[in-house]
Amino acid sequence: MKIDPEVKNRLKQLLKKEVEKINKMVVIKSAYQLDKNEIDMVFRALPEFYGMPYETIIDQEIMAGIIVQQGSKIYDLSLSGQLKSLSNKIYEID
Amino acid sequence: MKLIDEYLKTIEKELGASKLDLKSSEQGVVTEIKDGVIILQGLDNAAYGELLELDNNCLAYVIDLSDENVGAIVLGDYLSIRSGSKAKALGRSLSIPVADELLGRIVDPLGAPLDNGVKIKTDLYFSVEKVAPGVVAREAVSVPVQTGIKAIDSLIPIGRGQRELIIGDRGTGKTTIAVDTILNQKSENMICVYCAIGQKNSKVAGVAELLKKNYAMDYTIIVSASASDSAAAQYLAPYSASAIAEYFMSKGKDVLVVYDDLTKHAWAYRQISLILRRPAGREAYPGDVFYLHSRLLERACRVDKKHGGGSITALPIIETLEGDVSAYIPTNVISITDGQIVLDVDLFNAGIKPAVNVGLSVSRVGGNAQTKAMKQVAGKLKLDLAQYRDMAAFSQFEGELDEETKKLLNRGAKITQILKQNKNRPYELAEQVVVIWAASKGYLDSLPLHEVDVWETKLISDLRLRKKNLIDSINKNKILDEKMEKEIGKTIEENIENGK
Repeated sequence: MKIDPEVKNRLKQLLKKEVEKINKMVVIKSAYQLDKNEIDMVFRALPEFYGMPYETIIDQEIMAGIIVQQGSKIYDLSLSGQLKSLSNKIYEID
Repeated sequence: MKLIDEYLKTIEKELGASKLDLKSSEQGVVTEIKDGVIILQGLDNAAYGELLELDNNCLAYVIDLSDENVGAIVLGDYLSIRSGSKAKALGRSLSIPVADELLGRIVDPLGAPLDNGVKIKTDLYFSVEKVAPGVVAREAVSVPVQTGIKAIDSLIPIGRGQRELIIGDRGTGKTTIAVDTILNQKSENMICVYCAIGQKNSKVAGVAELLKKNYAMDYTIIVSASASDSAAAQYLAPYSASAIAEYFMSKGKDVLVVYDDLTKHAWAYRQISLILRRPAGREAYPGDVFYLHSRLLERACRVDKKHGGGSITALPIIETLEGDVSAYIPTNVISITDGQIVLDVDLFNAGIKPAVNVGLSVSRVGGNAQTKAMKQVAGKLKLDLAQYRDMAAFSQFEGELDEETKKLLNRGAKITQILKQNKNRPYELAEQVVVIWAASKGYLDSLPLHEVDVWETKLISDLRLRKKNLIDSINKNKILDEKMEKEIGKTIEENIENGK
């Protein structure tokens, strides 16, 4: 089956737009549901994301703290991340 | 218990230094895994040459950036990476630990020990990829590298800071020449780096053993990425070796680096490039295979006093097939280097070892660095040998020869004979000068060919025993005056007389 290049182009542009939209979205991952106050605090601490659309995800695996992500940029402020870097450090010391 | 307490203390100390800081990092996801290469999505702001950390604590090195993907070579075990693994950009480029402790060690391209020894402890890291020193920082080559091999020191002299290619078929003694050169640096105040790329582990072990036995490991470092290591490791090995050499050069030292061999390095890079789907050119090598070697060998240099005054001499090795020096990779490297030592199968099989093909071998800058004493005796040698080669080919068809031609042929045969040398037996400067002087002055013309060997051994032990002052004086002052020549002549005559 041959795809009309015009259609292909439009689909590509649509995909690009959608990806951009998703990439703009700030994702806040936490171990429990954050209330409005706590989310405000997060944005105050990370002013570069202030005023952007956001969504919250609950992930028990991170144990405590939060992970803030936008596109490929990530702030790992979770307990699980800290524990992982600790284990790396212990492994490196000999 | 005490040990555990100590460990806990170090960990506490380390942790005390680190604080929870608000630092963003780049994250990506592995989408494809190919032989030693991973393709990732995300990592929008990753840089070329940046290091990535994967879920299984493996490191990867970004070498391909395209519209949507990032390609990276995995440094370590790529089989335990799963599709969907997360990768974090570390924001720094690949560098290896460098320290004086490296001397005598065998390390992999990341600086991790391969000899069951302790980890290299240092705070100093040198970047693996580095731009070579510019024009201003450089100086002309003026100090020789004494290889201890008569044929090379006399006819194809190498200078400190030069890049001299060793090229030949397999089993013609390429590695032997390089290793013998390392052995001869014992009293030459030189640091040596032997970089094995895609070699058999048994061969590397053999070289290490030989160096250790001859006390050469005290000033040598071996960097090894063997045939069983990943293509990524083989690709990085020569650059790591170069980084180690640069560390010692920055301390004002003269360094000799042997890359054994760059053919396999080109193969490893070809494999990586094909997996990354880069357009393939001649012999399926990618377009930048020339740059691959030129940027490596350009790092060999002699820098001026203001920049430390050290030097890096490079001895790259290339393996040819059926003596074809005009294949793709050999011609590339020949054009990059400052000369080449061509080894010939036919000469090797005829028992002429080292099998240096004097006609095809050249050294473009080493002549300026040759010692005065050697220059005095080698000038005539070249001419005699060239005439001999012409005549030898010609005389095969001619039955009757005139006296003059016979004399030339005889002289040439004797010179060829004295340029033979056993492996792992480097000659001092004075020994070389005396032997070559005798041959080019015609002292050996009356000696039968098969007695030359014995005469040479005898002469050298005789000189060591009776004329130690003379030998020391040549080694130290590196010149040959008339008085010395007379003394040597007398000794040689006595020696030949006694032999009869």
